[in-house]
Amino acid sequence: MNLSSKAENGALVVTVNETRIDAAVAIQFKDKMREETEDASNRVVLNLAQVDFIDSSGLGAIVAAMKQLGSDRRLDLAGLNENVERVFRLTRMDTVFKIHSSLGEALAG
Amino acid sequence: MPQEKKCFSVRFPGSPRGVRRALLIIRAEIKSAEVDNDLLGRAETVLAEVLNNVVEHALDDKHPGLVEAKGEAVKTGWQFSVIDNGCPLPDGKIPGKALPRINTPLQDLPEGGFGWAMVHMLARDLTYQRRSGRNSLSFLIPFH
Repeated sequence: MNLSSKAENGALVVTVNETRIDAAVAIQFKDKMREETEDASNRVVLNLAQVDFIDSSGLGAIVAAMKQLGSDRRLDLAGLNENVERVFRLTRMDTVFKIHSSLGEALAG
Repeated sequence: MPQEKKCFSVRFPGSPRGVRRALLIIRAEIKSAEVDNDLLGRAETVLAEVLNNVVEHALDDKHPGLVEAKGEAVKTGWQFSVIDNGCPLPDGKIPGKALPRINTPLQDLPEGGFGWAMVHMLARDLTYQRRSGRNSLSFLIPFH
């Protein structure tokens, strides 16, 4: 599970350099997110632009990553393709996360 | 000349990696039938949830096994069936369509329980049969 992170505009941007977050990698994703966000101050933006598929295990791992951040820091999402967005919409998780159409929009706001 | 029938069958070992490889093969098979991306995405989501469920719940150390997924283009969409030799579904029934509650405090948000809800939302004609020690789940992903 390849993640990379970079501080931008006061946020920590974590980019998923993989095409899938699925049951095969859900636990790794959660662990890597913990490592990448250890020093994050208040806001983390998860850039999913390269991801073209997530299943419910991948969704659960993203929820777990948000919970790991605790209530003082928040996790926003950016760059969801239509398949990934559908999973958030059907499970109503689009009401739990703030979802930005692009990384640019996430950092502008 | 009759048109070539659009169908496929994939067998794979029951593991998360096996599911991933099978989904990539299935995606390529459906794509070659010039299906639009929306149906492709809906089909992949439902198949992923059904196949993961087989691997996580039906198969275990006592029931290692092969899973078979079949698909066929029909008039109204794509018809799929998933067959495995694992344990039957609990109570011999397809799990329900309820979504887990999400209006909870942050730390209580659910990290699972979404799979069957999505299957019910995206698939039609869900049918489960247990016969001769095998599970068979079939469903339709409609064109629209």
